[in-house]
Amino acid sequence: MFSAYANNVVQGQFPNYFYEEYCARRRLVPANKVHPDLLRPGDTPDCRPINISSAECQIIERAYFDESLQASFARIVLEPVQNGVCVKGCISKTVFGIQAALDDNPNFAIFQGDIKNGYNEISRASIIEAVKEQPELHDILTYIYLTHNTKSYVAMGVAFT
Amino acid sequence: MTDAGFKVEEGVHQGAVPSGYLYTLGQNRAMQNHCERVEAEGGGVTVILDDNTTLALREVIFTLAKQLAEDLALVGLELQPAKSKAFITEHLRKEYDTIINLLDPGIWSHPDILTRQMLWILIHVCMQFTGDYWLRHWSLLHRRVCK
Repeated sequence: MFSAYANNVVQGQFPNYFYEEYCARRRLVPANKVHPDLLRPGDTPDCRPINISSAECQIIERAYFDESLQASFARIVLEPVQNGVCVKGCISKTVFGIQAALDDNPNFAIFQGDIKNGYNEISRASIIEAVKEQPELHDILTYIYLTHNTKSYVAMGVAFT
Repeated sequence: MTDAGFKVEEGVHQGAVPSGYLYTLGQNRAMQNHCERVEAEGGGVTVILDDNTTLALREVIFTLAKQLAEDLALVGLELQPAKSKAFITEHLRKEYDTIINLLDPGIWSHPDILTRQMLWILIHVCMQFTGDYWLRHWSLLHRRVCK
C-alpha cells in the first residue's frame, strides 16, 4: 500500500497542492557549531538552521535515491572533480592527494575556495537544467521539478479570538 | 486574512536525502569548467560539496580562482575572497617571511617615504650641486609652458 503511494509521489501523480504541502511538512532545528555549554557569557550561539523533512518523505527519498541512482551520480557528477557524495573516504583522499601533489610540485600553490552559503543560494533553475542535461537522470526529473519548483504558501491576518 | 503563494528560487532542502546530490549537480558545470582550465595549466582540482581546492602554479592560480568565481555566479553561487585561503610550501614561506620583515611598518613608518621623501632628497641633491640649474633654464621652461 505504502509502496504504491510512494511510487505515485515520485512519479508526480498528485496535484501541485500535494507537493506544496509535501515540501512544507518539515521541522526546523538549529545545528550548533559550538555546544551551548562551551560558550562564554555574552557570546552569540553560532547555529545553522537545518530543515528536516518528514519521516514519510525521508523513507521515500532514501528508497528512491538507491545505489543504482547513486552510481549514476558518481559517473556523471563526481568523476573526476567532485568527491563530496558517493565516494568513501573522500576527505582522506583529498587531504593525502593534495599533500602528495604539493610535495611533488613545490612551485605549486593551493587555493582553498569558500562558497558563501552554498546550500541556501544555489539556483534551483540550474539544478533542474542540470538534471535535464543528463539522460541517465531523466527518471528523477519529474520528482525534482515538483519538489524544487513548487510555490510556498504564506498567510497574514488577525488571529481568531 | 491575506494569503499569497511565492516561489522559492534558491537553495536545496537542508537535511533532505537528495540535497547533496542535487547541490553537486547544480555546481557541476562550473566545477568541470574550472577543472579543464586548471588541468590545461598542469594543476588539479578536488571538490567536496561547497569546499573546493585548486592546486596550480602560483603565477596562474589567482586568475583561475577569479574565473571560477565568474562561473559559480552563473548558478547563483558566490566565491568569497575574504574567506578563501592560499597555501604555499614551507621553503617558499621563509622567503615571504623575509620580505614581510623587510617591509615591517615599524621600520618603514611612513607610506610616502619611497615617493615624497626620496623625491625631496633627489631635488635637494640636485639643488646642492647644480644650484643655478633652474636659473639657467627658467626662461626656456617658462616659454614652453606659456606656449
